[in-house]
Amino acid sequence: MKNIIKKFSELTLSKKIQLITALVLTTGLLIAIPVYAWFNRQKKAAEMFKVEYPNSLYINAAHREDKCYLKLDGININGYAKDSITGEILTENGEKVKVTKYQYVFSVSGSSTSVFTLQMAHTNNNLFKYTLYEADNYASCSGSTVNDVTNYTLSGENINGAAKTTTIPEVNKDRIIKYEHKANTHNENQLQVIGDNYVKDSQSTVYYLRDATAVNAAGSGYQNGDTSNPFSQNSTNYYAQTTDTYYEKTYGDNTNVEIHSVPLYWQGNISVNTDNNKNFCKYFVLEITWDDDEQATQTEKETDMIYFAVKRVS
Amino acid sequence: MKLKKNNVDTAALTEEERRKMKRAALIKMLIIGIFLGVVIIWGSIAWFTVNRNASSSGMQIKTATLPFDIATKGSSIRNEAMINSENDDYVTGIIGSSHGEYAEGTSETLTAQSGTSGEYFTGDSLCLRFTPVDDPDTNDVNEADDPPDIAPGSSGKLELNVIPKVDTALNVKLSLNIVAFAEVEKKDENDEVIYKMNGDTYALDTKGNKIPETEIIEITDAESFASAVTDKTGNTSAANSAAEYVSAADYLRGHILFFGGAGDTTNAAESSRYYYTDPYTVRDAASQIYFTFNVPANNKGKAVEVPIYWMWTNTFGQVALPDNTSGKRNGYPIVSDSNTTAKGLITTYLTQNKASFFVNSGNDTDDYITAVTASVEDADDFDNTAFTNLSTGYNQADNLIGTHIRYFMIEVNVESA
Repeated sequence: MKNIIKKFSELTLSKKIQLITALVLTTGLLIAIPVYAWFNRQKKAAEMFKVEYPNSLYINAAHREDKCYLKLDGININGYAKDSITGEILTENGEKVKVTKYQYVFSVSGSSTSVFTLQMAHTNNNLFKYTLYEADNYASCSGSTVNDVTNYTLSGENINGAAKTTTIPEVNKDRIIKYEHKANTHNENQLQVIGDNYVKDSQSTVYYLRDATAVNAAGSGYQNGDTSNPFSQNSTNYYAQTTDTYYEKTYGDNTNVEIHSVPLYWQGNISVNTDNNKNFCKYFVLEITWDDDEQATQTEKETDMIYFAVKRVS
Repeated sequence: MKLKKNNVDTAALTEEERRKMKRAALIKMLIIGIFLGVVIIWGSIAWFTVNRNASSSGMQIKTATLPFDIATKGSSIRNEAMINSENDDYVTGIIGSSHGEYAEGTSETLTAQSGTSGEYFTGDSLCLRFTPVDDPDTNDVNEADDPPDIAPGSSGKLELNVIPKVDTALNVKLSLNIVAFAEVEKKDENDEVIYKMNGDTYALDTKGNKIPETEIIEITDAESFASAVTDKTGNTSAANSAAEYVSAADYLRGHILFFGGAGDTTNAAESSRYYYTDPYTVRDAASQIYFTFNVPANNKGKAVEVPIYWMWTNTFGQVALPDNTSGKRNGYPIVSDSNTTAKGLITTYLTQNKASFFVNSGNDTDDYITAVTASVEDADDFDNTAFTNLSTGYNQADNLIGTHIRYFMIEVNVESA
């Protein structure tokens, strides 16, 4: 080693440079080739996928409460009508009034949606008519009587945060539904919408104003059955047509299906406006009514099933 | 450069002798120059050669080549404009430089291991292909008309083949990496979304809505993603939630599971159906799922299929439950209920990857996983609380993925094992 260093220092400057250059070039070459080859000791392949935006839609009871609070309880057609705001039994000329309809409020909420499809399917064991209305939510309702004319003023906040009020005459009072929502009932859906907030651990009262016109007015939207009057029996005594594709999809080749179990399918597209956070909550009122004469002949209790489904369109 | 002879007194030489010395010096210079030229040329040739060999026989520098090639088959490339660098619409820069460019490769006719021959595409950095199916009633990701986008419940197969160059059996190591991309809306200085214009008016989509201008950005780490978002889109709210995007990418990597064999989804007994067998659940130091595949002998020049199936399971019950005694499972399990080895691997995977699997992963998660994956005699013995907790954590992670990730790329690295 000492000899090499001694010989190296004895060389002239130009010789030193030549020697060092030659050594560096050779070493560089020796390193470069194996390193390049090492980087190339693998092969790669790849595939690209596109992810779908989630259909974040929720169906809940009124005010986005958990679904278990949407109670379609036993319907007693021989019961007495109650005031939809105060809950008192209505009387007319001192006599209690028989109930003619039941109203239930449910909500569809979600985010980043402008149109969604709502589907309803129900059996017909009870001879009930199911009408769907859109509804608006208000925070307070007060009635005032002026010159024997009573009006109800509803006020609340709309989706842009601005105040909204509307006045309903007494004759349309049944369009107002009071709803008491309980504390700690928002476990499934924690969406907050501007103008429709809730405080999770406290109770509050809201009022829903049902639209004047039904979403499925005059049988529109029904996919099977006699669409002009889906609740009528057609010539073969079936509520729903047995020759349509939905019957086949539901029952296949079976023909011994109890006629009132064959479901009626309804579908419609609903447009919504979202708030600044791209959230929305749309309320619906399901109104159940019946033909008194027909119902009078029913002596047995029946059970029906109703299904609701929502799917985001855009 | 002067070459001087040592210990020679140049002044004492005659004219003739000086000229001779000069000539000798020149010749020496020339020889060395030629030698240097040869060295440089050999080195350059070795460098520039596209082939994997790097040999220069003159100096006996040799490196070994990989004993196989890779190939893919299928008539189409999914999302071609984004991934195929040879495509006219390809935008450089979406797939970051650390991944390199993927190309269509060269078309060749090869014989498969089974004997049938067909068209394959080979190359060093390939776009995997698929063949569209014509079945409008299914939700097959390979559907020809209007294939569905990927969502929970989607699954597929990577069409990867290995072509051995030798007749002996060989082992290859495959590593699977998932790269996530976000689509971020462009915003101006007033934090308003910039919409696409059609001349002077807004461009509208088929439903009549305005179309926002967007950029596709790879999700790497929070800092790089935030600065890329700010640079390319000016979208400060997206840049500020960079951590959410990184979380979403992490959950995607945890939720997509890989398998080595197809299951049985058409069994007459519906309760016996399952999706896959042989789950790949081990991660290497770089956090990539990897596995070793044995290419059998006597397949030189033939395309040997490497089965790789992927699935983004729809519900947690399908992933973890050992059976359906509890009644909580909807849909088929990812591995057969009777395949206890596979179930065990999945359970281990859940425990090791819980932070990338459940949004609410915490101190109790291990206990919950143990409770849920244990077999129970009766539905009443089932721990519903544990199941609900984990299932919610899984679903919320899925929601996060869907709202933040727009594209993802599955990369396969194939090396000698």
